Amino acid sequence: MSGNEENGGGVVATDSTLSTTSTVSTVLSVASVSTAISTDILLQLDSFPDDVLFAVFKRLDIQNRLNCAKVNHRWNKLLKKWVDIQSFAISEKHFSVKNECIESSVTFKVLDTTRINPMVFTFLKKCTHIFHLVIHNAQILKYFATIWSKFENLKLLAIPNDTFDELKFKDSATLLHLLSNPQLQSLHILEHVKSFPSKKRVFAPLHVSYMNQSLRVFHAHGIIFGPLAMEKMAEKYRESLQELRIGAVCVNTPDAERYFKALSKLKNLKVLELPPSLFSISHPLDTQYLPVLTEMKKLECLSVFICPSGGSDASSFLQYLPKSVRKLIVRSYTDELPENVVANLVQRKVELIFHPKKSYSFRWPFKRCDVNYQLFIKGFWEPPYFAETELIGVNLTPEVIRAQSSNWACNLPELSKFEIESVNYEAVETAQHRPTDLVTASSPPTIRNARERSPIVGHPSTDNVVQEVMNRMLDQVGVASNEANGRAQSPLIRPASPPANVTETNLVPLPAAQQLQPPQDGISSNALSTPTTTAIFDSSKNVTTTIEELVLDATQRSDESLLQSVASVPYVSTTSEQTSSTSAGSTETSSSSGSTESTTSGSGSSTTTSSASTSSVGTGWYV
Amino acid sequence: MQPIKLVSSDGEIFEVDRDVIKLSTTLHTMFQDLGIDEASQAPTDPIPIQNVNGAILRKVIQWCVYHRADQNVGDENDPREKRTDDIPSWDVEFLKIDQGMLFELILAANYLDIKGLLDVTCKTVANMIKGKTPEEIRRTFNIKNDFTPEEEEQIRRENAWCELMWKVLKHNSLK
Repeated sequence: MSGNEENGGGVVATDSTLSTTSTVSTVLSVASVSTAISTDILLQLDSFPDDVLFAVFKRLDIQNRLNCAKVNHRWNKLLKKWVDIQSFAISEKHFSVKNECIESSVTFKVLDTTRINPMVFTFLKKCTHIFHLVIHNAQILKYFATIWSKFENLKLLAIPNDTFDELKFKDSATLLHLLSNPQLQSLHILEHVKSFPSKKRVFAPLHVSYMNQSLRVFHAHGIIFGPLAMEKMAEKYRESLQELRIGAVCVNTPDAERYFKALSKLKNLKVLELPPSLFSISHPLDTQYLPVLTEMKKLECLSVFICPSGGSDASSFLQYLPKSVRKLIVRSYTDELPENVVANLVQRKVELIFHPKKSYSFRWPFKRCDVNYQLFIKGFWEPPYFAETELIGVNLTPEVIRAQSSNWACNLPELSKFEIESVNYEAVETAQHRPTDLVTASSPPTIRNARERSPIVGHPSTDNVVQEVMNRMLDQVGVASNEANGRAQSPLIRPASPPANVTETNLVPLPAAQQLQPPQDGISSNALSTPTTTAIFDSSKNVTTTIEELVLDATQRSDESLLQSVASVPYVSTTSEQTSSTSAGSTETSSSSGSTESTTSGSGSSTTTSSASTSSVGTGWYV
Repeated sequence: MQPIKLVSSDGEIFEVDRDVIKLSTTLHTMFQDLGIDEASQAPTDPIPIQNVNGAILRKVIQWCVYHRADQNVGDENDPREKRTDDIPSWDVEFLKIDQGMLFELILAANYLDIKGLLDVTCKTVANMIKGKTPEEIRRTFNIKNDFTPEEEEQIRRENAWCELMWKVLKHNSLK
């Protein structure tokens, strides 16, 4: 700053003014004269330099910003981009923005999905520079498929788990585009409030291969995380990954050895959270993979599940804890930890944190509660792993059945095949990115007809190559039969897009892969679902997020009766309202737990870099 | 700890305690760069604050004296909920001044990098903007409308759906 230098020089240079030294009080009378002078030439707001004027805009909410943009050319230009906004949360019916001064949220009524598009699109375009993007509803990804590639600064991305529903997102190019963001450091896949356990929701090796090289935080809920994906991940992020929080994913337990072998490669892991089906404190204590934990020399925070009878073995488990661990997060089915277990665990200089059986709505980065938030955080994926309809076509071996009813194992015989297939899928996906390879609009009439007859499927693939590969894959995973089952239950299902719409989309040739959007019906997402109360009812306790910035303001769904009512209410909006009313009181506790966790999270460095670059971008844009 | 002398652009001299001066990041950094710490002798020459006149500087110092003991002024990680309408009552009284003075204060706070003062003054201006139509904003701040009628029509059309939406929202909230 040049002002500094001038002042610095002044200290030495000025001596002429020395004699006129006076105290503040004696100057008062003189000052009144100069006030008169200064107000004479009245300073205008519009004569402020851009950065100072923007300092005022920064403190305005969305509505008032829009009004200011209509004042004159200069204000309009200054407000073309909301450069101060760092975080953006969006669902199909609201969006919220946040900077260091304000949180502002706008909700819109979903009367007709095509009508909200221009509006939200405008806001998205104003905020393509943001660092944190929270997508509360997977349909949003499709609505605005073309814009996500413009978000080039994303450091943190939170997306709902049903984004990975391959059936729903045959055009997963949009998702892959987001995942491949070059700046991404922190990926959070969180449970969507309406989602139900599904075998089709796989975080595949394909997704890992698309992600950039520098991921630090991987946090996933409600997805299937296969051993191959884990291996690819460990290979790619051997150095960079600091937080692995997969407590609520579904893993294939027979492959435990592969998971742990991959885990042992992650040298810089500071925060680890494993699903109970991979590891838990049980009786007798299973020590087979514990040496892997002991070898994690940088581990600072570990989260474990205690089996109902496992408490007595807790102290022997402590021997395996690496010395670097400062915090032990414990979960169980119960609402509080028995005293003898606590006594067993509190033996070292390790902070013990118990997470009771609760789910937390994901409010970050916003402090205020919003009825539109649809993501939440669960402690783990509880059995039964899948609804019965999900198991049709699966060879029900005793292992599979046993795995269904316990929390200690999950058996997914077809997973490895699916994971390998996903590599083929990758090839198709890449082809899809090149417009020349597109076979769009030429889908044979047979397929189109089939779809018209079964509008439940709802999302016609514009690329029949992908369609075919997907069908083949899904056949192998035994999903096709599910689909039939889903149709049989159609009374439970809300109608999907009208067939006319479907044909139209299929007939219009689309120029680029990016525009391959299915019709925006926004309804068929649940077409194949059997609304299971267990999905939400079983939702248990939480992990508070450990990134420093990620102060979670959580909505606690504390009692089961509330949970039940949540589960039985068909629309998200209503559920959120109910939960929000209980959340007000709990805000304080949850946010404080978030901040305590942050002290040992160890990802402070990423926080500082992001805020530093925020300010540099902030000034750079409008100066 | 000796007070430090500041001299305004129009030659007024003010004696200010070191902990008050600390609120100005610009001056604080300058002292650090010059190697002047709390233990060392205060510079005998007054420090010129070239962009700020006496009336404004007095006001700035008055604000800083009152807020000298505040914790974490303008801390971005402040866990408290941020709102634009939560200006402390002392500051509200303090800022009951004419627009010109308020804007001068903003520029001074910006120049001296006094985060807390910049925050309350900008909030005050933001509150003056809130809820106003573009025309009302222009009138309040004496800003000339430099849009041609065509441009204005275009902006109006672009934002028509926005306004519609606010109306829908307001309607809903009444229910």
